[in-house]
Amino acid sequence: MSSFSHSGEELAEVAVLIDQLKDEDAKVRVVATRNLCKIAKALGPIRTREELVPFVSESTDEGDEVLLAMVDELGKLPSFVGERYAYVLLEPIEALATVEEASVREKAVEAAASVAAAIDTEEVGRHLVPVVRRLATHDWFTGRMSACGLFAAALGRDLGRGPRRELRDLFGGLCRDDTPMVRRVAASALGGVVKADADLDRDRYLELFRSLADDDQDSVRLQTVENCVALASKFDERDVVPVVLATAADRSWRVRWSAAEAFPRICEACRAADSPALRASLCSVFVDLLNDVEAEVRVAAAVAVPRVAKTCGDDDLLMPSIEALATDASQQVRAALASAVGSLASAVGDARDRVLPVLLGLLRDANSEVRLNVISNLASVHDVVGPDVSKILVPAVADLSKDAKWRVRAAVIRHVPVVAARLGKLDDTLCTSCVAWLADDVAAVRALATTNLRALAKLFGPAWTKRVAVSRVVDMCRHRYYLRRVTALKACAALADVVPPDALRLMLLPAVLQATDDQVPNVRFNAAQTLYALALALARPNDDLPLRTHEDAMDTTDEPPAMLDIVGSRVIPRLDRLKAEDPDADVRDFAKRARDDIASF
Amino acid sequence: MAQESDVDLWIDKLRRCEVLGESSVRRLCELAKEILVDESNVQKISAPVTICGDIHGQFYDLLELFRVGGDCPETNYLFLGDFVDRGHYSLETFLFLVALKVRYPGRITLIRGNHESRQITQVYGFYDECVRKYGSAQVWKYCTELFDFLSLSAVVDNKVLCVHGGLSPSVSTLDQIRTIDRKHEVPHDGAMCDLLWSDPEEISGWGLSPRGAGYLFGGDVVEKFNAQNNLDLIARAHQLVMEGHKPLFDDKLVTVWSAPNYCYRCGNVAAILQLDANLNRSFRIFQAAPQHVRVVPQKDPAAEYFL
Amino acid sequence: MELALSTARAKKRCAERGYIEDPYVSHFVADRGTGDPSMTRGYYARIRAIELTFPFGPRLVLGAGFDTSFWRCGGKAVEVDAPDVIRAKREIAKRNSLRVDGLDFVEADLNSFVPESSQPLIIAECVFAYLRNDNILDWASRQENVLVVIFEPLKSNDKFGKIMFENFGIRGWNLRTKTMDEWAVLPFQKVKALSMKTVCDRLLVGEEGARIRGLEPFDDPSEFDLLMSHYGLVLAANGTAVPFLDTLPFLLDD
Repeated sequence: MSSFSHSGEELAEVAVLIDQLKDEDAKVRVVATRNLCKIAKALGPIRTREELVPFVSESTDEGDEVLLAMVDELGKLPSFVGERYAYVLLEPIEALATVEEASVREKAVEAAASVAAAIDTEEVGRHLVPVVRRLATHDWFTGRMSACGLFAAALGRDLGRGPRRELRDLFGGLCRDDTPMVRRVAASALGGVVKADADLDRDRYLELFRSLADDDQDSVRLQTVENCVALASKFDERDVVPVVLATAADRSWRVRWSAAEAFPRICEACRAADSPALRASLCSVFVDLLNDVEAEVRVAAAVAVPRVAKTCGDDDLLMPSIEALATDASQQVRAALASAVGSLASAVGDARDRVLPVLLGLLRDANSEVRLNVISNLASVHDVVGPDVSKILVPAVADLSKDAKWRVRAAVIRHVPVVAARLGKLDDTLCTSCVAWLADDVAAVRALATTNLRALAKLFGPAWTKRVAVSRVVDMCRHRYYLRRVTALKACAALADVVPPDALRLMLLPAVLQATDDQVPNVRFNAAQTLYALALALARPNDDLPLRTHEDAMDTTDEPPAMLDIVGSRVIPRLDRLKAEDPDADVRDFAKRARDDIASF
Repeated sequence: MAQESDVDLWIDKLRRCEVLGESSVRRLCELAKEILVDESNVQKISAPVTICGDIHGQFYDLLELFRVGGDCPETNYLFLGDFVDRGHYSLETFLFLVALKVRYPGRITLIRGNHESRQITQVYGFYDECVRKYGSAQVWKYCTELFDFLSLSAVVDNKVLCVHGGLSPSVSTLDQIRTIDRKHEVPHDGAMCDLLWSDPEEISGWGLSPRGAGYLFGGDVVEKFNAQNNLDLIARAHQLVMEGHKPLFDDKLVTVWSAPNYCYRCGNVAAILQLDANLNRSFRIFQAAPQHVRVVPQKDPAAEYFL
Repeated sequence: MELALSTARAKKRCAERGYIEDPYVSHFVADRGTGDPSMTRGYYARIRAIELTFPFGPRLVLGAGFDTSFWRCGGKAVEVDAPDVIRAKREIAKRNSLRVDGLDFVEADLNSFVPESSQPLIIAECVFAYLRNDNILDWASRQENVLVVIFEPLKSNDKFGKIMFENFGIRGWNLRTKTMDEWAVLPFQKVKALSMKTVCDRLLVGEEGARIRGLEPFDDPSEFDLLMSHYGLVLAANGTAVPFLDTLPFLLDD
């Protein structure tokens, strides 16, 4: 019920809006038209139906902008025209459904659907069906295109047999319309119509479906696969599958692409898993898509491989094509397969042994994006390969760790902690790589290598860190390139609180102190920063150190009595000296900051 | 007077490719002037240092350069000019480098390229960019005034001469460069113009430049100049090389180009030249930053083509 | 429409910087956009080269956009483009009282457009690369006397070429174009296919060349050459157009 207690101000505003609906300036009319609901609310249902709606109906020769505003508002008006009167809105909407501007028509169809839903069942035959009839037989194709979108709304209602038969005939006519655009829209509406038509005339719809699937325009045939999905759930899949097979072999690659893209959903809709015969025929046509001449189609098929393999896969049929894709000439195809290969392995079950060589081949692909896609899906790969994972992955990771593209190396490094966590240990090759990355030519890789080493140190504990990393990092503090020495110092800082106390005191600290005398200022100020990190670690109570293994417990029995004293006796004096005496301003500055930070804890 | 913390804030902002307010730009340029005014026309620097060529407003590719070469101040840098024009982010590129210079004057050296000029920036985009980003040319004025203070060349450990373009027939010694009065707009001819505009070429002696400014100079000129000034190498930029770097004249001269996929359309790789403490040379090649680490300005097409 | 405006902006820039005289282009676009001397010099060469073919006869301009050559150069022309472009052009011409006798407009989708044989000169600047078929070229090759002038990005597998097609792809244009060698064998009695670099080298000579070179500082000759070598000017001639080719100054050296 609308309220009649409007304030005078509101009424005045609405009066202005009504005037503005007739303004000379189109911009003013657009703004006023956007307020149709507000006007209708103020006018009340009776005046809205008797005055506003007829006025709107006469204003449909407006510019596109006004029409767009109008059609938006019309869709929202049913609640303002009074119960059981929603149908009055169909007249202006019908007019808008025939205009030239496509966006107006599309919205008119939406508005008509929302009005249709508000119409009482007994009124559908009297008001909605005539609108659909007029649009479906409209002279101009615009009206006929709009009609296609209304059948589902009408057929979903409780109609008499006569009107239902008439609507089906009209829809059938649109599916065979002379204008390809109308057939395309009819084809895209078919799924919805079939779903909505309660009293299904199976043969008739199948005939439409088949004739649309056989249309000479590829834009019409592009709708076929979605119809396959929609129809398969309502009809016997044996009726649908032949059309699927034909679509997958279509002469237009875009149609074949659409088939490849939708194939998993088709398999699921056809309940392919239940019938061996069905599975066989779907699988064989999918194999054709995997072997398509167009790379785009093969990419879509490669992406679909795992889901198809799960629902209707016949490993013996699929595997040869998958193996072929792994050496496809198009890197996009191989990259798509690389992303899918992990989940594929769990889908194929028995053919797992055959997936591994594919996976390994992709891991050795000439294109780094392909290799990266395999590594990026490491989790699923690992789950499949199981305990043998390290044998397979470690060499591949080692290989990628030397990739010419630094972003590939970086991506690999990011994945190492994941691999390590799953393996529970790292073999010597990978440990060596982890340290070697610190010496990478690219600064960003060296930075990631530092972060990685710290993550591994936390994972495997202080003893592992000491054994694997510390001496190598200390060695690198004397590397002949200053940028490597800087990285080594950063690694010292990153490891400071995850190494055993003796390593901190006896290995890292001397190396960093020595670096404060380096000939290159950049090394000296990094040493100053690192001294702060070491001081923090030295000052920390010993029992904070995570104890991981027996090995760790052994190391910490040698309780160094006065770690904190070392800060006072060795770190602070060195920073003070740098701060006061170093010839380089940045070194003095960083030393001062480090000194001040130490003073504050 | 700006505080150090202001400079750090500016650096953070510029690193995210955000422009500074007009008054911040003015203060930043003032601070930079105070540093640059004391630099020599042949600024002395020590190895190790990483030498970079043209950047041309390709801000995201400059970030890529730092990813490969290391951040400032960890790595010492020398930029050979042409920070602005052609790319979409001349302003952010130039101010970012200037802010680093102000914050770490001993770690980064900026010298002048032929695009650091009032006239050229009005034709090649920097002027338009400033007006687009600020609605007035004021920021362009601050920047171009600062251009006049940029040094003309640098020499690493007295052995490697670094200059944007190349040599000049009116210059046979480093001392002659030192005596140039540089603090004005780049002239149309003369020593200062030549240093910023000339190109090496496989000729003997001097030749006319197709650029309409500067000269072409041959291997014999370089040989003689290096011998007379006790130099091992001339490192210069100024010319697109598809491989990022190109040695010439028996490794006595090298072109370093640091704008990958120049103008977003040339498809070239970029390079930086790392000189270690003993002046050993190694090149690091890098490609344009991938799409996902860039922000492309809306509506602005990535590259210009004839349509 | 987007393409038409962007080309018009570039041509406005050429006019403002003195490369060409064009008092008309400002009616069609307000701003001159951005663009450096490689683009303006390139547009100059393209405009000059194409206008040198106008003496051949009445012309059919495919994808004409907001091209102003009819008003600048006279002659008779039929201009074809998408309806929105043609309607805008007609409206602007009317509003500014631009002469339209001798100029016909055709609204058409060039994918399904069939020319008529009353215009022996067909101008196609960056048209065929956007079309889905070669119907117009097939039709033209069967005409007795015809000169088709084509300006197109060239297909090439070098780095510049690959990036060019990637960049067009980002803008949603899947270009269909040909390599220089493929253009050179179009089925006409005589075909001349030149890279725009060659065209520039041959046009930018003498007094006019010196004038053009003096207009703006020109920093990067090597980058300009790289850019121009990835565009081509193709002249495909049948009948009377074959001897006409010999009158074109940029073909004299061939």
